[in-house]
Amino acid sequence: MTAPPAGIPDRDLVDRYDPFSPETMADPLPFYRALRDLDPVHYLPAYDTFAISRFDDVWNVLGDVSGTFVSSESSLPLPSTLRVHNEGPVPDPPTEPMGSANMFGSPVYEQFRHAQGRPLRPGAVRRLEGFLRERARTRLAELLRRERFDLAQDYGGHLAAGAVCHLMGLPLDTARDILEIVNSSTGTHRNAEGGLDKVTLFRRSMEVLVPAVARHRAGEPDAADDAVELRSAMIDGLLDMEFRGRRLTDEEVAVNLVCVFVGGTETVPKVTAHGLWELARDPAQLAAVRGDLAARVPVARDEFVRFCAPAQWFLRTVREPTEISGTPVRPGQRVMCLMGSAARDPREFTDPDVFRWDRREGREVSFGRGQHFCIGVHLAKLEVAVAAEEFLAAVSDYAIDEAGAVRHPSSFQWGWNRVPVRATAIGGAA
Amino acid sequence: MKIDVNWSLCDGNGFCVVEAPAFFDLDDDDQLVVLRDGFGPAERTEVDAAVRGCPKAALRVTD
Repeated sequence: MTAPPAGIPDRDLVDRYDPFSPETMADPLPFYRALRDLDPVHYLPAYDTFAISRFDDVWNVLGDVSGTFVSSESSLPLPSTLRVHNEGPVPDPPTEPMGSANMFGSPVYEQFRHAQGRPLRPGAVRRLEGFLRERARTRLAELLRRERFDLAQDYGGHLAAGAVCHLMGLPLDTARDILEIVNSSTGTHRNAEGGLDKVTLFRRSMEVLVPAVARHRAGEPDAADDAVELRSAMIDGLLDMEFRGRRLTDEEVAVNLVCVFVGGTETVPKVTAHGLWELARDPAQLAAVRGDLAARVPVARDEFVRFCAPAQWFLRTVREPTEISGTPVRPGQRVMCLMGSAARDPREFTDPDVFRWDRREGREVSFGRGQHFCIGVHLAKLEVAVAAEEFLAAVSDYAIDEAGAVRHPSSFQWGWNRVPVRATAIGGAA
Repeated sequence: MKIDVNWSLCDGNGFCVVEAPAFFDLDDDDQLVVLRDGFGPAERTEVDAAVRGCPKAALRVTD
């Protein structure tokens, strides 16, 4: 799985690397190793983009908050966007109407991030732990009555989408719809050119989010009414925000919730399921984690993240002349930060392709760094730890149906979408 | 030497609190509180660890 395609020299892998090609989307890891070793700041002429694969370069570029690197063309552009080259720096988009603040530089990006981010901060997330554990336990009780289920979507996805409902003041029974919307629209293998089906994803997300925003503006849900779900502090934060002397419309608020809506749903299921699969592969490691779930699952969780995180890269567009490890980059050119490669760089991690639950080594790059550092990091980490801990606490024995597991080729979210498991409940109630 | 915070970037992630609790704390609203902004050479190591560890790159040291 991580071995290079048989007989292909590294130089050829470097030359053949294209983030949107079917062979790269099927398994990028052999390409990353060749890039790191032979051409760590690798120019892709078709896209006028430098693909950076070493840990230190990814760390330094993402962490450069000077305004040199901006997500002006989005962090995940389509290949068709990249095939059109810029003549110079790309300015911020228009603000009338206002689209996603993710494509803006400072201070606009930060204003929107702060307006919605309060419920995702560490203390607020800790207060969600009870809700997450209850949801995980209830779901496990149902799933363990089945002969088999999908660890990723039936279990992890139920938890992640449920948390998104909770954050956005949506009824919990909307979780299933959110999971379907995100899963059906983020598979890049369905798109002929290898990019996200952004149009469908956006449209279907807005169909859920715009009415939720409108209800909040109209005063519903009323927190005083126990029969109605609590209001979303994320939506209220954006409704209350004054932007260039005005308030935002329902659509403008909704478009700025799409990032958390999608990001909060798609990643945790894959990391949880793949991580539990890695433990199942090595009974000694599984036994070690089981030795003290409360203390050891959070440690293992960090290796789940490093080893299993599906997000392969984020793009930045350069605004000022700069250089990366001696390679000059001009305004308008792009830099593709390959976190999927950085997380497997032997310059940062010993034996990086080996899963070690207690690795406790190296810096964490899987949530990014700098201006766009993952806003959901605390919630994501808690969800993975709770999901894994509750699963291991409820189950005496489990086996992954490897032949039934599915990992779609993807230019972006390359991870295990479906991980069927047969599990025996403690007490043998299966 | 002094700690400088880019308040626009700071999200209250609290990594700095772990690295240098004598200098940083989060209040009940997850807002960063800088307990002391001046420090001496003996404290350089822990302050540097907090600066390096900030995932938002929101901290700097100035003279």
